[in-house]
Amino acid sequence: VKKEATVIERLIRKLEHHEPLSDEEKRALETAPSRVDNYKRHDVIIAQGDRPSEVCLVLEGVVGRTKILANGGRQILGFEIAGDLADLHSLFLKGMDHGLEALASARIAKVPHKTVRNLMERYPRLALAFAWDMALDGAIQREWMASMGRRSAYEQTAHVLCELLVRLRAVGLAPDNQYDLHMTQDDLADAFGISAVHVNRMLQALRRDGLIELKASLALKILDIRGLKDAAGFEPAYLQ
Amino acid sequence: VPHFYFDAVLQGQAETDPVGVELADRAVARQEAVRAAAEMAKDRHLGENAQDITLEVREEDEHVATVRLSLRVEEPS
Repeated sequence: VKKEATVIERLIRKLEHHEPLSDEEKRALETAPSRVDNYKRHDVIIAQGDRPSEVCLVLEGVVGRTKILANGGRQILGFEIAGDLADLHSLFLKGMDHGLEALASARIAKVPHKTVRNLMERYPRLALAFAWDMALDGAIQREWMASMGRRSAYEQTAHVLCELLVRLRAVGLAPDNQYDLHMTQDDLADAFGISAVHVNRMLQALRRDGLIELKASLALKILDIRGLKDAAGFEPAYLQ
Repeated sequence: VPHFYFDAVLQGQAETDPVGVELADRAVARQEAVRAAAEMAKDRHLGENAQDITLEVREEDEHVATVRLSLRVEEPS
């Protein structure tokens, strides 16, 4: 129970980047009924086309928003980390236009749509905080589109590593600028829309340039934040 | 799962791949090398003095394929 509380605090901390919440609003979030499911790497949490009746809050691990195409390809549209409401927009969609997949083992709290709607009706400031969260998702997606269209793979890789550092730090999860993505090169390749071979080359190039240290395959430490931001052309304003 | 390495030669500079990538088989490794070479060309903004991009594919120490991509810009003299 204590562990879950910390995670709700992460969500609260994130939402409070937008606007402080009252004690009553925080309590309402903390006591909202939910059930917790555990997933292994590559488990499908929600399939494309599903009509979920719950919202997924990531407690632990990394979740990918995934689009499966008719030609068999998979595009990862975004990464959801602890404290993220991964599919808040499912409240408004008739069916999911993409799925959610565990990219590392993940713990997910599922909150019924009805509960979320009730929270939004009772506490307008929570409704605004949720709307802000969805706007933030949109900003991240726009930045990813810009990367895919107009950044080099080197800039794109540096950009995502900067973005993850800022997002993980905002919820207290990148101590000493270190974090472990627990993902494969294939996952990054599907997120960047490039080959795994090229992803591997870009990670090695960032390492050779002294910007990152790679411990295991995707456990990394950012050695030179300024340098990594410059390499990416990273402006963190879209995350605020 | 077989593990393949993709050593590159770019502008005459050799870059050994210390990590490699797990791929289903040699056919997939060749396809990936072709794709990667095209991506490298896109990223490098190759100009008039473009040199070849070469990827040497190996499975551990065994040579699997060489993929070479040339891009030439020609102008009327």
